[in-house]
Amino acid sequence: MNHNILMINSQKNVAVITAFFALGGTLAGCSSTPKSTQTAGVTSQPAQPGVVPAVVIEKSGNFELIPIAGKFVAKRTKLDNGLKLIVVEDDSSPTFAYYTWMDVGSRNEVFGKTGLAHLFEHLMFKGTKNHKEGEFDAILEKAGVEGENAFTSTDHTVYHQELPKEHLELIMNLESDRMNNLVVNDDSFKTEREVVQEERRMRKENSPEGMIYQTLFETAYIDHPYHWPVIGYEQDLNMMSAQDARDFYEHYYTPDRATVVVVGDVDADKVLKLAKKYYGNLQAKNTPNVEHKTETPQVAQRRKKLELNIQVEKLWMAYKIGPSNTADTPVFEVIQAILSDGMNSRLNRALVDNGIAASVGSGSFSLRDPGLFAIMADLQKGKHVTLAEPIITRELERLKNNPVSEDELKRAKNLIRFHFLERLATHGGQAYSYGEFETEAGGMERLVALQNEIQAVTPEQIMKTSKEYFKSSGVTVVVGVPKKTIEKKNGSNL
Amino acid sequence: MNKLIITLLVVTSVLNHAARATEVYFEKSRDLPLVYVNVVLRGGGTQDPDGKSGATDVMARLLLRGTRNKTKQQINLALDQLGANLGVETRAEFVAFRGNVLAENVTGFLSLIEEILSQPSFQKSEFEKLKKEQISQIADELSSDRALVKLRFEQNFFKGHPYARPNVGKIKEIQHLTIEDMKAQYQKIVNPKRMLVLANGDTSESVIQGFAGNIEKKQWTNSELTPLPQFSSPLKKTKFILVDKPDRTQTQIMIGQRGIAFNSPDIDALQLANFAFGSGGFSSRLMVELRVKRGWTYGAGSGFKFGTQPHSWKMSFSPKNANTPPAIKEALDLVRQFKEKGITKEEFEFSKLSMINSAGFAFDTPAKRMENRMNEILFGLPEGYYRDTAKRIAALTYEQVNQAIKNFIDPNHLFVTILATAETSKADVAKALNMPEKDIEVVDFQKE
Repeated sequence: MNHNILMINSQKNVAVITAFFALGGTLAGCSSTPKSTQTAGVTSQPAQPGVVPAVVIEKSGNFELIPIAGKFVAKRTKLDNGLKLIVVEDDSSPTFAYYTWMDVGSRNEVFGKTGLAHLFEHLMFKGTKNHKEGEFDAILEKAGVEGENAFTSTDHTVYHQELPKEHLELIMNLESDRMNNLVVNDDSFKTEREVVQEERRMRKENSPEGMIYQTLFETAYIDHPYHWPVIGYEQDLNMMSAQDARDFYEHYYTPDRATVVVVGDVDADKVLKLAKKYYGNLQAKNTPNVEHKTETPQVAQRRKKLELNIQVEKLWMAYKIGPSNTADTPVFEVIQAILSDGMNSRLNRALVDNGIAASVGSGSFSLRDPGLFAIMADLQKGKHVTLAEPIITRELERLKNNPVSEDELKRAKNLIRFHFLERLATHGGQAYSYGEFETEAGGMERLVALQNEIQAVTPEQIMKTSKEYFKSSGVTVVVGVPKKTIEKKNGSNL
Repeated sequence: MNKLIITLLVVTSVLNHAARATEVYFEKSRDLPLVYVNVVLRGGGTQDPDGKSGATDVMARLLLRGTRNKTKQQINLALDQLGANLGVETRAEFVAFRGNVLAENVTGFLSLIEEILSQPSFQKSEFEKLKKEQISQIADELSSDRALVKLRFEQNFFKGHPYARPNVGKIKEIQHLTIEDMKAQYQKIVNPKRMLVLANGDTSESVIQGFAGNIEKKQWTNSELTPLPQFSSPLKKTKFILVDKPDRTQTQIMIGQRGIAFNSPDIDALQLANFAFGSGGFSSRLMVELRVKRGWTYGAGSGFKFGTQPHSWKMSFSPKNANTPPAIKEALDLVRQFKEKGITKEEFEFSKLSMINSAGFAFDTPAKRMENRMNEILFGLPEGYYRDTAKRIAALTYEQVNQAIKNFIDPNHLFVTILATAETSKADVAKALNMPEKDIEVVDFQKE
């Protein structure tokens, strides 16, 4: 068990990066579609292009009912203090997953205090007024907890675990306790800061992918908090104090910033009753987010070359896209599948089949504020990024200028539908998806709506979106090259 | 017994037709319109001929790149159109083709797997491409310190034994593999008499049975696997190797010893002991001493690796350079104390309760149950081994656990692998451990 895994950027290779995108990077929604309507049924079958079935939400007692897929129906409600609660009853095993999504991430930090959201996530496993340090873990371990962990991203911090079903009340008691009664003392703060520095060394300084990832965001964003790494900078972490953490807690750890998702062998009415008992007395604070600058539009290519301790060259390219909740979101899902999902995808054929890259991936970083669509390739030994980049650009031009065939579109939609269903196969996978859509995409019904919208994407939409976003003046390129064999700009436009 | 264990008695079928060589496991689940299929062949990387490491893995990957009737592109197109995934993984003692498909397309998917397994084309152009990709991926692995320390630990600790071979192969040996090697390895490994078919999802038993039956009807060459020799550690004392990689600000450390057979009578006692020592989360000794108290490392843990032969027990952690010498010293002291004093009564009770209560998570999804059944068959475990874990743990006594620790833990014959920059770390480690620098063998991180 590893607490406090940082959500992003530790992936080891492109295949894993692609999996990351599939998991979290692209789950987003479209603000142009109503959150809920009463006009049509939900379907998991492919829709007709251009026709998007809407999601039906019914009311039952205290809950809104949102059908997901197969037998799964989500029940959603909100406490008076603003805490959102989502429950999906599934008795396929006598266990449940418990995910607490907090609406705070590195975008809530300020320059000079980078890494505070993530460091604070570590501190949430320390003592409270009711439980001394170490008890939280020990109580859960004794109860048979599985996958007790947490992660921080640019936009969220999420605490999660799975337990045997008889421990529902235990976890609601413990989680509400640390949401309200955490104690941050100076000694444990200092020790945990050292642990975070070790995590940073592992994920950044000693990880080529981590350095490339960090550089990509530092280069693509100039003004916005997405510029800095979620894990923060060494010097900022060293300057941080326990008081910074206490202030952060007071401001951001409030019930109106929390979404609790419970999936498994539970009864929704009982979950609600316990939620009222344990979270109901916490006070909403309606605290504001940090004001941050809007990113200045990118008007020219940005490029960085890193000399790294690697054996094969690595290429990352990224284009600015909108935030996670736009009409382009389903189109980017389809574009990702066309470009790099499966060995028959366009970039796999153009780069891997042709002996240029060993692996290739792509996907959206769908974020609260405008995100990125990234393409990355690990080159084959002895091949250079200068060979791969024009091929990627050529494939993007194809998307702009030539309609995708019906067969290829069907292939992409099939794959996306398959991945969607696969994500629902575990309690944890469901809890993750529902939480992300509820907190980021304007409501978890967007998870279902997005699937419908994807099935309705047309070749014309793909051309239009590609033309709008894949502009050469808007690309950020970061390449990693082996230290000893850096090219002296021979044929390189870097 | 906790409720989790009792409730998880799911309806499954282990279907052994009297005349069938292939073992079939199936569990029906209608939760989602998906079907998961694993086709597992005994014999993995340990079956590679000497000097031809990676032969099994490259052969298995090559099967996905062409049949007599389909090119690689046609196979991939067919998978995409079916809404399916199919990949292959080579481990030391088996090769697993793992796939999943939209339930409505299961028949077409199984036909495709059948064709892939029984009608390989061994096309030379695809073989050459694959070798280059594989070599590049191995080279890329060198950039991951955590993967590299594990690889170098196994290569050096098991030197001379097939467990030392990297399943993906060595760059120099892959370069020399030929199509004839692929054909020979195919004949050696792919055979229904050593095959398991495991499936779950929204389909029927008869569909899976039909698939296994169809494969058996094909013509197969009679072949036998090479028996795996026993491994006995040649170490006369604890050995240190330093994998020298430039510019490290953090060290990766892996310390281990010879492991235990999966079906050893001491296995449960040692699993409980290991829980208290290093796998029991934030209450385990390693985590408490190295991370919680001192903040020296982000991760710290220990565990067993199993095979048909005793494999290894090892621990790992990753401190910054300055903390590397004291962290290694502390870890070695912890092993010594573990051997001498065992675990406390409190640790025993805590670990026991925790393991019993969490045991159900080992088989709470159809996918895990499928994987468990595979392990039971491959490693000679009784059916229901995972399901019965809590029962066996509940029966353990404190004395039994500490006796098993005493018998098993060997602090004088450990293998310590340190991935660091030799120039900045070697002398300090030697000094902290009060040993001559020459006793730390330095190997270049690129040396295969």
